[in-house]
Amino acid sequence: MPARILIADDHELVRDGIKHMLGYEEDLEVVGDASNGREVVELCRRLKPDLVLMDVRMPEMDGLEATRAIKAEQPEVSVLVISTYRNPHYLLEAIVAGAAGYVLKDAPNRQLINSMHRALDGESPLNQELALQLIQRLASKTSQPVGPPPAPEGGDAASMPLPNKLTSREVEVLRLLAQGKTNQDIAEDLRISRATAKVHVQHIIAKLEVSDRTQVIVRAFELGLMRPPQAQP
Amino acid sequence: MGVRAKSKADWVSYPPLLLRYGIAVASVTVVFGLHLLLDSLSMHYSFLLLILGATTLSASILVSAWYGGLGPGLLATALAALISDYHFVYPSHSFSGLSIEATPLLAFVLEGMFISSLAVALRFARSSVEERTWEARSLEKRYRAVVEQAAEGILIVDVSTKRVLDGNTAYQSLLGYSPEEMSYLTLYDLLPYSREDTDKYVGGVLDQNRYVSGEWRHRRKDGSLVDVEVSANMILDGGREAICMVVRDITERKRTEEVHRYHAYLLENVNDAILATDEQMLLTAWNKAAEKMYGWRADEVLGNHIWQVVPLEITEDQREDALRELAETGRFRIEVITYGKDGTPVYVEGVTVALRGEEGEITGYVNIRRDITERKRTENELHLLNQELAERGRELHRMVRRIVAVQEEERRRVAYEVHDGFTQTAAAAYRRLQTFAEHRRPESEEDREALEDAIALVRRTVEEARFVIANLRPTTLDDFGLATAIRMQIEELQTEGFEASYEETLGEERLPSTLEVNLFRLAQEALSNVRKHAETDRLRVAIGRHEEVVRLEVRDWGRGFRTSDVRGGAGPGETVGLSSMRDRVVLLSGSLQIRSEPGIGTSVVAEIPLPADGEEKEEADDEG
Repeated sequence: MPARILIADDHELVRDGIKHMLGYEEDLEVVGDASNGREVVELCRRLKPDLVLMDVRMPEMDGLEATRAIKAEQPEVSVLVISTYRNPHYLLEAIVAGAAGYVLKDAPNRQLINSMHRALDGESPLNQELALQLIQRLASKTSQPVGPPPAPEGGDAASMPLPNKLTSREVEVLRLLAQGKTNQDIAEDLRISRATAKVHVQHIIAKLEVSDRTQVIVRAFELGLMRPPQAQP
Repeated sequence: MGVRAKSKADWVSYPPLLLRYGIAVASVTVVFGLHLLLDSLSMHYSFLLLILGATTLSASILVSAWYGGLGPGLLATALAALISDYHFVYPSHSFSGLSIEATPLLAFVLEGMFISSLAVALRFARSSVEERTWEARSLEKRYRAVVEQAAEGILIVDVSTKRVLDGNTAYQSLLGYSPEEMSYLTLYDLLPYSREDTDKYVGGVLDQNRYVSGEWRHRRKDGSLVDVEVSANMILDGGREAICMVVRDITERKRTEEVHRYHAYLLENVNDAILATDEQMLLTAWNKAAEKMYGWRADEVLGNHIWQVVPLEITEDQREDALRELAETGRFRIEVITYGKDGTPVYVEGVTVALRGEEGEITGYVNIRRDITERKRTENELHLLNQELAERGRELHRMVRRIVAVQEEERRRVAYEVHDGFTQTAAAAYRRLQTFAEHRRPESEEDREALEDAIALVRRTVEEARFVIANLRPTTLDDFGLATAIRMQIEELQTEGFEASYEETLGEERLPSTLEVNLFRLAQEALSNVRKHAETDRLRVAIGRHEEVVRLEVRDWGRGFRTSDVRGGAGPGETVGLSSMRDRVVLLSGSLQIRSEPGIGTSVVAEIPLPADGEEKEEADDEG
């Protein structure tokens, strides 16, 4: 079953170009396209896609706002932001808004397609640096001291103020994830297999009701699971 | 006679009563004795004896009257008559026989009375003469004293010979002559005029029946002349006609007069109008400049009240202030409009000074006025010019603001156009080409390579477009605001390897767009300078908002520079950078402070006030 894709971009040429490219991909099916934020939110409601390719700059409602709107109603939908601007700030803002990732418009086809796959898999381009930046950004937004959640003491997961309680193991994974570690890194640190790590991550994603690992941090932050950061940029 | 004697120190002072009558009796007795003696010398009654007898008796009467006065004289007369009777009237040697032959006796008595009176009169006359002489003497002495002590010179000259009869000490010392020398001089020596003129002068004095005064010159011993004032009159000096001249040295006076004349001349001819009044403010002086200034002649206005002659455009308060200042300090200065003869206004700068008498009471006022109409006009023009200049300055300011706004707008427009049209198209083309390359691979290696190259080129256009946009107008600024846009710059520096720190306290609220853009450009400029000149990798940017002021600081720990060098114009890049920053700051009505120490670093601080609501609207209009 091919993944259902929505494209949102105010430039027809760009939309056509992507559609044309995706025409050759069997596991990715474009089910609709929009030329502004309002349209895409509406389409998203109706069509319930798996992934939205969202341009940042659009009239009426811009991409980030649309992202926020979609994620609020349909958090299971992945949003991949595409933009001309090679600007880490845009990336951060996109993630904070709820995007799974950020791709440049002049990214090679393969890269774009891979990004889409990763987003659909719940992966996200979260590395250490980005993670820290993200946390910083979140902290400055709400002037709240923030950092990865504390290590569980005494292994009492019941003390966690969570709707869907995380297991102590999951908390450990969450800690490492918040540091921007890849599944491989997590596996090595916790002496588990990579597959196990991936499963943990997926469980966390599900419990926190987000779409990808990056959003895990955002959500954890919202839930107040984070503590003061240790490193400064 | 008795009264006279008392008041005139008893000139006619007779000896005491007893003595007087005593003398009478004594003298007659002596004569009687003499007769008896003669008688005893048996000289019979003869004519000679009669004569002798009569003479001696007369003599005794004279003596009695002379020394005793009328009373004793008469007594002597009576006694003498008796004696005559005794001796010369029949029967002789007795006191009887007062018969018809007594007629000679009667004649004798009468003669005796006459002699007495004569003696008294003579004596009186003599006393009178003595008195007169004494009086004359003492008058002479007094006169002498006065003349000698007189401060003024007194000269007496004989009319006919013109010889100096007398010249007092003052006169001598005035001319430098000794008393002896003086006595040899004539009027011709003393006066520097011709003989004719001198004679004429003397004649003139004689003609007049009173004092003749005038200013003359007399000649000193050394030949120099002295200015004198002479009062001359004819007198009689020892019976001769003489001229008495009272001579006063008026050199000093003349000098003072000259100075006064000179001062008056100056006052008359000075440029400033001088109006003097008495303490009642009635005009006492009105110089030529005043005449010129106000159109009134001096003779028309003197004696009138100054404010009536020259009305002032002055409020009650001003008047009060002026009078108070005058009372306190004795002077005041005022700039005021005054009105001249035809009502023409004259703008004057006036100084009024109070004149005071010996006891400090005000005796009058002096007003000195200068026409400042021209100056006021010039001042006014200057003021208007300044206003115009200020207005032009503001206009210029507005214009520059508009230009900058337009410039920014243009950039933004171009940036967005490039972004919207150009970049998207390029990106789309790139993608299409890739898809084509992937799914419709060219057969030959050559073709594949050519295609790859083409695709790479298209990709580059997107890169380059991105670069152009970023330089023209960073969209971050529009989308995320100033704080983020600057953070972006910082992060870029960090990736370049700079140790860049960033402090931001702008809060969530975004600033007006003009402010954001200009502050961003300022930061851009400052950071560019750091990159170009500081030769360091350590810097800090701080931006914050405190009440109504936004403060931006760019600090580096670089090599710094001497601020004096920059003002002089070190290198073209540096000066331009700093001065354009200054321009921007000025445009925003803010302040720019650049501090730098060679070897320590540089700090650029801009403080921009947030515009008030009205101004914001003006800006919005500017950006139109």
